[in-house]
Amino acid sequence: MQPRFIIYLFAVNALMNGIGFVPRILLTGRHDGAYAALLGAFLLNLFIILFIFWLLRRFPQKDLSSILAETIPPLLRVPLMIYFVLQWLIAGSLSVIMVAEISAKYLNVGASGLTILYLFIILVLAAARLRSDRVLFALELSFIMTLPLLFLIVIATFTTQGILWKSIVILLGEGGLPDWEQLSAASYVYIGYINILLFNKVIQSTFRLWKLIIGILVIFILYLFLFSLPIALLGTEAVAHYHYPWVITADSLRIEHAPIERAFYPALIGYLNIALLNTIVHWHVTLEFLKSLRPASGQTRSTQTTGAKEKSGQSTDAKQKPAQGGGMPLLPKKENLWQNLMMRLEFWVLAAYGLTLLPFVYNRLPIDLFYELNRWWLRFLLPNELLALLLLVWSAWRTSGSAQQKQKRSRPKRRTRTA
Amino acid sequence: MQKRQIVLPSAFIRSNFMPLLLAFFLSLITAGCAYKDIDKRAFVMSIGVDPAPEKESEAEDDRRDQDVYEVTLKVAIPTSDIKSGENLFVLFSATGKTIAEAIQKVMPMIEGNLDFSHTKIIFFSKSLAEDVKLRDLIDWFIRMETIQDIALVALAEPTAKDVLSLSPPTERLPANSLFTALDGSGTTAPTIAHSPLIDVYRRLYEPGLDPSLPIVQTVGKKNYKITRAALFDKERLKLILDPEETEWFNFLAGSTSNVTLGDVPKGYFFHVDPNRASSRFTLRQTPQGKLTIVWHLVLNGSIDERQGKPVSDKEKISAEVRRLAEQKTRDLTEKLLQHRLDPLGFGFEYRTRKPHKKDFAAFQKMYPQLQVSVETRTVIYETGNLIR
Repeated sequence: MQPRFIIYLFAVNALMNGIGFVPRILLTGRHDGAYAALLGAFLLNLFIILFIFWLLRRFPQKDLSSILAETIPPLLRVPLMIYFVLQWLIAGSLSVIMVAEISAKYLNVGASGLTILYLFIILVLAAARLRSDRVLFALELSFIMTLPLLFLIVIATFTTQGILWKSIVILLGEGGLPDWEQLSAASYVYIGYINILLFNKVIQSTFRLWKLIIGILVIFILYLFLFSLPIALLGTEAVAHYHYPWVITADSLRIEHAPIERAFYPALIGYLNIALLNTIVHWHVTLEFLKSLRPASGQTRSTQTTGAKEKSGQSTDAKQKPAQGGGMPLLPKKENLWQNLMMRLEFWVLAAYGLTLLPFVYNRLPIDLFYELNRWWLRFLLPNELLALLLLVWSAWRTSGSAQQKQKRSRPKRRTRTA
Repeated sequence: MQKRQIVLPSAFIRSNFMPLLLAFFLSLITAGCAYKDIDKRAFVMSIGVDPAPEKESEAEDDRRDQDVYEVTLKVAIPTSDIKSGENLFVLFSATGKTIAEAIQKVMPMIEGNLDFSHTKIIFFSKSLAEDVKLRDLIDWFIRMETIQDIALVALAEPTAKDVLSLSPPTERLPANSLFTALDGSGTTAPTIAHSPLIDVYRRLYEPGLDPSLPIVQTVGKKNYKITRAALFDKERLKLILDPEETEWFNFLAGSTSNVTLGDVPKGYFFHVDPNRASSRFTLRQTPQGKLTIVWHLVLNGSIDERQGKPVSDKEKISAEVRRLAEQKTRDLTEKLLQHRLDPLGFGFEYRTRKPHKKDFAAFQKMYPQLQVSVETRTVIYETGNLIR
């Protein structure tokens, strides 16, 4: 698949900022260096992203788990992958909970958040079990259709009175140095690329790296705007009073000569949609990484693990083209229920988690707890990025040894010189 | 073993169509939870808050238990076609110690579910704004998710209930007349300022920027006028400007440029053109260390009317206009400084230069002693159809 799909991976995180706690975390620290955090996160992530994409070029059509399978012993690989799976699972869970919470609060006022959460989780599960390439196609389509709604906000800023851009001058003047939490929260905007660790198996990495730099710069500038608008509109002090500053910002914008005077509803639907896409992508990665943990070799992971007789049905997956990723129909042909269950064990585990534990937790715990959880999860964001980077460096180093052996004949002189 | 296998029945169920069907049936659940039909909702167009009428009671305990607020809701009665003068509505009132409690008491009075998503104006009666902190009054409104953050806030005189019960003959939809007047989409009267809920809340907490609200007065049983502005500090109503001051205040605040200057004895009426007038201020540090507010006014306008024995020289008229504008600006600014009110954002401007809290505290201390100077540019660029 073409490299343009990387754009959507980036966008899914960069544009979902309105839903979730990242603006709140950043705005809490507005007096001490939130802008410095934005700049710092930009530079840091620019470096990490370029490095990771540069490294991934050595592993065309491979995802993280198959890269690690070659270079790291299973004893180390399995815990590492489980750790990554958990990170992705939490990321997806947090955003789907935010979507349910915000739509219950602002969009369908009075509706039970639990019902909405169930509906969204079913949607997400149905989409996440698709093949990787189809997930990307769906992502592109949905994203392009949502984009006009998001730009409504930008248009509305020109027609709304009472935006005090000078508030930003005040905050910039205060200066200050960011702490780790703010740096991590500001990094969240760029972190969407990390899904490439899975989608690398379907996306070709034939593009120039300077395009990435431009893309990241665009995200940086966009986020400067998205971060500054609540401050300019809600005030330097009152902006920290809100749970979801961005939702309130969207609510305060007014387009006088439009079919709907409030820019709020279309914009909110747009942002919720992006957040749902975010969950789909994250849970798809979770699912695929879980699948890769099966001891069965290669792609014929399906029925062997059940220990039962060989059936003809398992070949649906085995016949896949390599550049399409996993995914399978929910109810396959000619299977009995047990085999069916075991074949899709990972999916059913995720479904069981999503349909029982997550709603239970959401129903019982106050939303502030998810705020704390989000803060903690964000603190691990940069270390996780660096961990992935280190693993890739290690794998590249290990495989480059074997690559050099292949090329041994072409340049024997250099080796003797170093020796 | 073979017998226990559960074989799924038909190709239809096995196909990928199943999840779609499942999702469809699940979406039917939503109809039961919160979606109410539109005819089972009561759309609240406007809310008014008054002080509760005092009970005649001697006992201490009774007095402590007394309700504080009387909340009035203006509920629209939907009509099939929109006609002038058919603005049907009902008013519901209840008292409570909090605004939320009073609204809870209104709920059993009407068959539909109260829906605040169309609430566009919020009135507080003037006497309430003098007694109760504005932060407390506004809390419920800003906290409710359903109330629009762009709803307009205004003070009502004599009471909010009186203003809500107005039904101007020109009105087509309930509460629409006042909304059109207050949000600036209709009349461009210079005495009307716009104060959305979100802006009032911001100003209540922003150092160096205080809230101001327009005052709606009833005129007879059917009409109203909006000619004055109420200025608040961070807590209560402090100052009410008279109509002339209000007009000039709105011009200085930048919310209108449709101002007029007249000096009747000399016989001209100077109308500033909305497209060519502007006002802004800067802060300037004098060599002696005194801080000066410097107003830069641009008043390009036209002569609308001349009466009696007019001054014929345009230069003289310009000079007169300049003198009047400067005097008005100086008087108003000094009045604000004296009352320690900052609705125009002098402190906010100061913070853009020195953002630290310590500096701002010092600024607040010297606030009443700030100097004012005015620089005005006036061009009379047209005199209507007549040459003179």
